[in-house]
Amino acid sequence: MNTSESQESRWRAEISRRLESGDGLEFTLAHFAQTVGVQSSDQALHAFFEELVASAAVRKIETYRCPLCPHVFAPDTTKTITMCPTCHADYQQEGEEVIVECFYRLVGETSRDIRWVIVIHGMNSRAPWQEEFSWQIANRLRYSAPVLIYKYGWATVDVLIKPLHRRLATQLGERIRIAINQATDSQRPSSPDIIAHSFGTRLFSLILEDPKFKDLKFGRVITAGSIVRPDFDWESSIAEGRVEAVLNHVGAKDTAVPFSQYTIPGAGPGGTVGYASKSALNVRNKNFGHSDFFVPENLRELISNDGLWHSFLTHPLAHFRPEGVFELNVKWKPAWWPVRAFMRTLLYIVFCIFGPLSWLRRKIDP
Amino acid sequence: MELSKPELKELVHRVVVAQGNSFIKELLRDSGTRIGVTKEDFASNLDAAIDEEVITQGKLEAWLAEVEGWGDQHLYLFQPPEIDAAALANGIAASSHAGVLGSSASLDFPDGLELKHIRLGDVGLSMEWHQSKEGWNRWKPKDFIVEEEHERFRFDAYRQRFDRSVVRYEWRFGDGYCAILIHRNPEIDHDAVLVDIHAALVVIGCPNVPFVKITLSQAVKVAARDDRGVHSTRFELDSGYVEMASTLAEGGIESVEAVRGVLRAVDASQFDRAQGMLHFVSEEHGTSRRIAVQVYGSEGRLRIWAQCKREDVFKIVELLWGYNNEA
Repeated sequence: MNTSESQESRWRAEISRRLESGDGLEFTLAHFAQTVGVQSSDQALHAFFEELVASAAVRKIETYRCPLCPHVFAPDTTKTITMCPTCHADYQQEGEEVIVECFYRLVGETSRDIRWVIVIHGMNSRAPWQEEFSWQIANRLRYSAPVLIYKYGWATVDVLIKPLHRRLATQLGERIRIAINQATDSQRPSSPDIIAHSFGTRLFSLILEDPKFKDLKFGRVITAGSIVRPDFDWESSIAEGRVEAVLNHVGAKDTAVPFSQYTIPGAGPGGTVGYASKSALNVRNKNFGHSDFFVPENLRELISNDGLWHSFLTHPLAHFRPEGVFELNVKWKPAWWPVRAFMRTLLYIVFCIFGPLSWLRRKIDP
Repeated sequence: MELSKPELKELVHRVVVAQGNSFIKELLRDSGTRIGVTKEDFASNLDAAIDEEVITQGKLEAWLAEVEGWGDQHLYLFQPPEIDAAALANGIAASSHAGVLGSSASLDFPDGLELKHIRLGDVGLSMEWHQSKEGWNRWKPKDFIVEEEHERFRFDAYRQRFDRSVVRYEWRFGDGYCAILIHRNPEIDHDAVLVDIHAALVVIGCPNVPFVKITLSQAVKVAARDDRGVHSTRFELDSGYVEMASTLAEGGIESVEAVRGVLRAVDASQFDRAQGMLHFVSEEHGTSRRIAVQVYGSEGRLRIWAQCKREDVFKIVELLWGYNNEA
């Protein structure tokens, strides 16, 4: 690779970085030149940008700048503008003229902010990770982004019966509606981001399917160790604007999820095989088991600046291709129904035996 | 008053050519005549169109009402007066201003502010004042230096100019506000203009009560909260302020992640006053072009930083009024 090629590849890398992060999409040539360490008069850099403009990857914006302060006038301002809104210089009186200034704008989406989040835990757990997440995110961000820690109690054999799922999902949906009303009262957006784990993903999917929660809208959704069926219709929720985007974080060493379709009615191994929906993003971590996402050091990593979850929640998705991304190319089919029926029957018996005990335990220790 | 062709041409040379190129092109295009490239082309093509009677006095006046005195100016919002249209009509007819009701475009720009036109219709009241306002343009070719008694004196030259200052009072009866638009000339004393307008309104029958300004701080706060094209904003208390801005041409604060983060961290409801620079764009807001507007919330004042058309000004005010009434 000769010098000019390596220089150009550095410029391209800088452009890719900006597009991926969704920040710094608009700039002057001088600003860009400073970032990549060349002179703004560099002819090769000018030619490089002219090429990008010609290919419609970049838009050129011609405007004016105040000769006396950094104020940039809106494009379409006429050259005869007589005064600076920032330094209040009267150009006619001072014999000054505005200076022509060119900006370049990369054609891409701007980054987004994490405004508020709802975290939903899995079964058989008190989910201390929720508190850890809340603490970490509060420390991480420089602005306030409340985290609603939703707890539905220590669910054990309850997950074996479908009507109980619906009851828990209804409770969750109603709680979310209250939270959305409170958030909008506090001038926050009406669509929270969601992080759900294991059985929490099942509850969240039920909310999306339930017509009485059609009014609820969500931002970006992360499912970890998901037991949502791989053929779940994320497509419609995204197309209808009810969900902005979905990241399905899969642990390659997850040994719990594959059994979910046999044990939990309506569940499926979305958290191992991935989601079939083209709109959902499946990402596999080869080292993670079912709950490793929430080990404090992993959680810290995931929500750090370049961490997968933080990037998913804040970056534009057009250029978001993290390591481990995969698509479900083979049509997923549920396990043979006699096997599932046998397992369900067995587990109903288990529920009949332990259900009352579980009910009693939840009365004493929810 | 009907103008002769030479008078129409004078109107063209004195008024029309002073307008923005895009608006003149639109006038020529709509008339189906040649357009041209330079101001000189525009002037000669307009002359030819007047000779051929393609552009008539009616067309010119209608166009002028759309563009002169609209944009690149200050705009104040006030509570509308408590009077109905019928009483206004009677008040105007009985007043000393009856002569300017429905008058044609005036070429006259006197030294003092003078009411030149009133239009009263079913939908609203529109009043227009003219004034010639002095200004000084720096003129370096005429600078000189004089030496006297071992001292050097430098003389910086300024060339006198006169701005055609238009002041408007606009009240659309269906709106919850009325607007006063004042030309950008920095020599204009806004308080004095407001006193003159108030006096004229009283003469035509409006109640003699002081103007009540409509503050627009909430509009700025809502625009900032919802990322609606805010390029700069300043939230103020008597004891302090926070200020943030984007220095990009198109992208506002929402395009600069670090500044946006600061904005998210500010609880605007804690601040008594807000001001900001907002951009209105055609795709999002329905204006004819990108228009930068500085909103001085507590003063109920806008500074529109682009020449534009009457409909753009109303569109901007409607949008801000909407923001201002959001919680």
